[in-house]
Amino acid sequence: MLYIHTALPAEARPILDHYALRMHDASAPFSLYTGNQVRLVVSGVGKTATAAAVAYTYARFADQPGPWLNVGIAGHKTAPLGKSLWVQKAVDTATNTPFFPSLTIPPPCDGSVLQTVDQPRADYPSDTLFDMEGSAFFQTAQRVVPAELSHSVKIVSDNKEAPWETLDRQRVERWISDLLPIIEHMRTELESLTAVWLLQRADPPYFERALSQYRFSQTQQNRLRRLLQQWHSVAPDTPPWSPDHSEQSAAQVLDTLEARLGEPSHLPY
Amino acid sequence: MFRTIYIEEAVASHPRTQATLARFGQAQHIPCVHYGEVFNRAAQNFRLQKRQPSLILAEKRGQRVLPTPAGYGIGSLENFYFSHMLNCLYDCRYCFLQGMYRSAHMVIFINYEDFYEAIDSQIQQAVSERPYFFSGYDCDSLALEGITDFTKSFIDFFSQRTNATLELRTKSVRIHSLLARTPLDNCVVAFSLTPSAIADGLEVNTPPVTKRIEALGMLADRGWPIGLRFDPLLYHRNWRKNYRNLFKAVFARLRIESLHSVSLGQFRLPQAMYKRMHKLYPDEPLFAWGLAESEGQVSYRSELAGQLHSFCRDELLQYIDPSIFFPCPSTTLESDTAP
Repeated sequence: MLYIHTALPAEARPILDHYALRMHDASAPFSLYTGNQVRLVVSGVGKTATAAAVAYTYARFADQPGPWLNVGIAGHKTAPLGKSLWVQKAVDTATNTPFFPSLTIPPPCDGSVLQTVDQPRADYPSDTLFDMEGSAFFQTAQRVVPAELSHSVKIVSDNKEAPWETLDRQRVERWISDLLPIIEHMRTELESLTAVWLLQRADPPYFERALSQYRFSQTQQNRLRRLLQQWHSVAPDTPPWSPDHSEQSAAQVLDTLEARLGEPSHLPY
Repeated sequence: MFRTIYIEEAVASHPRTQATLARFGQAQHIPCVHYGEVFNRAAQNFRLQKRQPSLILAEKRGQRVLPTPAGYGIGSLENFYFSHMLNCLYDCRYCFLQGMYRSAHMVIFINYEDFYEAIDSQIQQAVSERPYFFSGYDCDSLALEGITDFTKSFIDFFSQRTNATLELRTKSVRIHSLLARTPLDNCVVAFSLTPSAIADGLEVNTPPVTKRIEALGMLADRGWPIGLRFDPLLYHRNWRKNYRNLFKAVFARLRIESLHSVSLGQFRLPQAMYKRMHKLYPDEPLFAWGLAESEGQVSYRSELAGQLHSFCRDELLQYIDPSIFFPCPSTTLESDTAP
């Protein structure tokens, strides 16, 4: 499941249509949409709204984590209108703090540094992208997923020759529609990375069943998780316990499992 | 090879930076103030990043040459290591770098001249006749030679410092720059070797062991002093047969007179490092079988470690003189396994 963040409803509209997303909860503090492959939240403009929306959405679906993608329009000093750019680095200009997505997927388009500003500006002081959300998006998203799974892709909506005051909703929607192939490409690339990340976080087989049968302390749960992971890696097709196992306590379960794990028959390679 | 290169602003115009960038004309360049902004930050996943690591060009600040841990050495009283790179092109599942760094990006420190100065300083302060300087603790000394010119630069440097020895530790077969020059008596080319049966599965992206053996044989023929590093020793099915065959293959190809030293190493990790590695690869059998924790270190249970060590020591001593054999220190080996 890919989580998409946009600041504006006009940025969201083409994505909602393309992925057939439906409103998830009309009473939520942010407009939140869901579908089979994608969830989308519209935050409103600015860093605070962005941070809140990403955090809210994560918490709402904490049991279904996935990669995050910020999609939106941005200014650029020289790039032509409608050009797509993958964010390589986002700088919060208020604090000069940089954030770096980890660029492990094939580049979906050219890249650029992004400067996140607190107020719209028309002077474009450097040859980079400008927006009002990007740094906050990364700052928040990288708290809930690794840097490899948080990305931002922008489309140039204004530049020195065409300032942002001339923007209208229809043009924004058209530009975001042009971004859809890139969004879909990133979704599929991020899917395979996410599968590995979820594997790293997953409870091993038989973990929940063991917890329901015995009372494990937190320390014992940690040991159980590790032992069952180890068991699954050396004997993936064999249950860790025989059907008629007779351990009386959590401690006995752990000791039995550890002893079985050390049997020479499980020697790897 | 590298699609993205991060460049510390302070070294952007350095000739070594420019030369490196020229080698990767298609790569995207991203500026940073300090490599730590990108490397080793929180919220990075080594396993995911290892799929497509980036290159970082940076300046090494602070201490550039450090003493090795006690007991690590190949005959000298004074041993130091230095790292012109952090991380490795290869992806060996047992490698401690996975547990040490959050980031799989490769950092190249381009200020070689500052390393020279630090090495010279240690040589001047040395109390022993011949201090040793080890490269390849935090990287592979040769694997990125085509990019770094590291061996060319540092061998030139050590050719003028005959009272010190350099060890290049590698799994690479990029040896043409070494074959093209006159060997140095004070430069040991040390190859890490593991039986093919497990190297094929655990040493991802490395040259096959047979090619490494051929490479070390060619260097030996050329006259380079050779080190053999069987590190870490790995317990696996048919380990006796596989290690015996590995030693046989090595000594069938190697001119024994060219052998500088042979060392053994245990599979041993600080507990916190082991936990991080197991979290990255919960599905890896290497981290699942036969291990025990003792005094903050995770390694094979002492009887297994002892078996491995004793067998390999006895086999090796059929080929080599004990004076060039350097088993690494151990917390789990029984004292009776010492030679």
